[in-house]
Amino acid sequence: MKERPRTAFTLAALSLIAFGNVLSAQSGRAPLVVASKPFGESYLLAEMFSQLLESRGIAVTRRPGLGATEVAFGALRTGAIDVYPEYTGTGLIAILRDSLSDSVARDPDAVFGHVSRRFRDLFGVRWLPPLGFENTYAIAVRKETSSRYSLRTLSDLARESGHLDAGLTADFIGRPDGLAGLSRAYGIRFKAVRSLSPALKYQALAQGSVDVIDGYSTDGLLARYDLVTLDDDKSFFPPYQAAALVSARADSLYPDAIAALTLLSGRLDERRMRQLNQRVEVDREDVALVAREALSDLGLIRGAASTKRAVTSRTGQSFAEYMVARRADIAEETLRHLLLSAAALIAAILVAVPIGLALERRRRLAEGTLGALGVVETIPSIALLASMLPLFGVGVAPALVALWLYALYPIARATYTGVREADRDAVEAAEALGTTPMQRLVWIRMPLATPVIMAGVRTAAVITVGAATLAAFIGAGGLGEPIVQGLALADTRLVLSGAIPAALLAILVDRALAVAERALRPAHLRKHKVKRLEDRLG
Amino acid sequence: MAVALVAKDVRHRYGNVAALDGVSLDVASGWLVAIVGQSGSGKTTLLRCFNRMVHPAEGVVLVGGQDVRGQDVIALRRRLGYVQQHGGLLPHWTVSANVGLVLRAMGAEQSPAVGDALGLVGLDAAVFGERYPHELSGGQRQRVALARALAARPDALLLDEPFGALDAISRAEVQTAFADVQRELGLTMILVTHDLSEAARMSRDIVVMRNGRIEQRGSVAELSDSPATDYVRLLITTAMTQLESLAMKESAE
Repeated sequence: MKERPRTAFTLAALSLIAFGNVLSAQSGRAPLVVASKPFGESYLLAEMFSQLLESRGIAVTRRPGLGATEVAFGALRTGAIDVYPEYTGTGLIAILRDSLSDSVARDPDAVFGHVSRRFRDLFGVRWLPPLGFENTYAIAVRKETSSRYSLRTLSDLARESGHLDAGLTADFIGRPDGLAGLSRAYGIRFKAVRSLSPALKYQALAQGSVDVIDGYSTDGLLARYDLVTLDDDKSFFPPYQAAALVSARADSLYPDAIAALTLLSGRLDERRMRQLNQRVEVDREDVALVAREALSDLGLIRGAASTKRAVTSRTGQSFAEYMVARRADIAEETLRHLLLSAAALIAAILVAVPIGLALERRRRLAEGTLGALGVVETIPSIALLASMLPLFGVGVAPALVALWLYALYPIARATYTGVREADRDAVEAAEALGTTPMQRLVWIRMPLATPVIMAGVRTAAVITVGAATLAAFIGAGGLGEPIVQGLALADTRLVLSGAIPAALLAILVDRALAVAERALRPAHLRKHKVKRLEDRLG
Repeated sequence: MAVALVAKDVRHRYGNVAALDGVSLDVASGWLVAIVGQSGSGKTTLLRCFNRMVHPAEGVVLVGGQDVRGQDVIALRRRLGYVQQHGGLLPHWTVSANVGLVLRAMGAEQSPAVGDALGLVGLDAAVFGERYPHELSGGQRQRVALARALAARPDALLLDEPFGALDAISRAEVQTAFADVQRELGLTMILVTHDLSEAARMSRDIVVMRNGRIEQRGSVAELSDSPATDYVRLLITTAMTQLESLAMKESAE
């Protein structure tokens, strides 16, 4: 967490990806990295930040849907991202873990003052003035539940909690200002607690699968379903004022960006935010379009989007039309996906083939080494990706390292096996005739092992292309991005617009490598079967 | 230039098994010796001591009068042609390329030598040169292997069961080719085989090995007239039917 990775490999891989970024960057300065957490409002605010910055001529890289608070803040602190929307209450309790006296804890301005001071001192990170609305936790039940148990406050809920099933987001279950703190403050003990994705919890509540959920007060979906939010009568939740959180790097290097982002301070009230969220979460309007219109309504940018309008996900649009409309994004995501996979795969070939060759001469070491690499293969991809965060932060570097680790085993194993099994009589005879070990490797072992090695590379390539989809969870982009975003917004078409190209890409890569495999086959295997038969008969 | 191959009291073990238990063998320059024995007799191990594919624990091995331990192993092997049971041809190289292997390894010119070597074993380079090993018959493959062993003009040939994998007809054919080469080039040769009749057909000087030791050395007639051990007698009896005609032919000469 303290320092950037320094290995030559990571640098090489990063520069490959940077090449992709150069295509989109307009100015000479490195683009500002704007991120969000994986829920609708965070996406929308981050998109508004991005468009506002772009309208002022500042190049932006978007990293939406990065992960929960720990991931997003960790990334900001290490400078992997530059700005994301955060809430003061979250900063106070989930990040600082400070407890304030009740009088201070209830005063939004006092909390903001405390949080911004402590963040500056501890992390060198800056809170811009709040955007103007609070988004606190809204513990919600169905109207029917509310009247049956006469629930109006959280104290009422505590009384009846033994009869009720809760469906809570993983974030809420985990954080100190979530379930744990709430249970302690009110003595709540639910009959059962289930972890639900933010996009699904409202539906689950409406359908009666659960009785209580953790909503956000500005959620667009709160109004859609007939729900009652319960009063925080003991003032357990601190004020959650939304504001832009800015990295130390951006704070010192991008004064123009700070100035631009500050234009949004105090401009968004709760009503407006709820309306905007509703357009995104309920009406399924495109985040970019909603952001643009909101900024335009606020007079912060000129003219509504005419180009982006075509890209929106209208309900009347067929899936094919939707895919066609998204083609530019899909192409970009596919290219990024391909670059990421290719970089990881090439790096893996460069390392795993020499490992396989080296192990051929040290067979006792071989099984142990290959076994260790094989263990990596058993780690679920998402866990492997997540375990890279403390070492490499977010973005491309950790994704590359994780994908690289995945690709090592199939290639190293295939190389070892292929070289070891290569026509032993031929190798032995060549040795007895006075060839050098290097000559045997280059003339005999490698060419004969090529088909086996290529089969390993193919396996690794398909694994890499598949696992790269998950890289979006740690901000590496690619075709996983629409999947992650679609999951967060419960937008199936968005999910499919990433999943289908990803699947096609895997098939395509496999076919392409099959062709390469045929081309690299040793000479005697390439010759025509027919000719061979003719020779036998003739 | 043919060289003498000499082993003096050589001993070697694989784990607890004595593969060579004090073996001494003297092969004069230009001479052909056939070593006969069952698998595990140590015959292949002894052969491989000469090109240092095996490093015996004890004893001295001399090639051209010099201890092999003092010689550069790569250079030594290039001076000693080698043919094994399955040919050991490189499957992805053409016949010409295979025959040129040692020359290429040495960085030497291949073109006339490869054609000459193929000619020596009775194969036309124009017909077979561009074929791959899998396009040849078993007998043709062994002849290519012999041509490969000969192409760099070695001082001696080490032959490890070169006819073992062949059917009777191709075996006779390839044996003739080997015998012709020996006559023509006058090379020192050690032929390792499990087949006494084959040894008798190829050489007048036969060494019988068993359990890492030499039981007897002599011509077929000597072995059958006065076998030194029960094992040699048994070996002779078993092969008698095939040998009788040869022995008679030899005494008639």
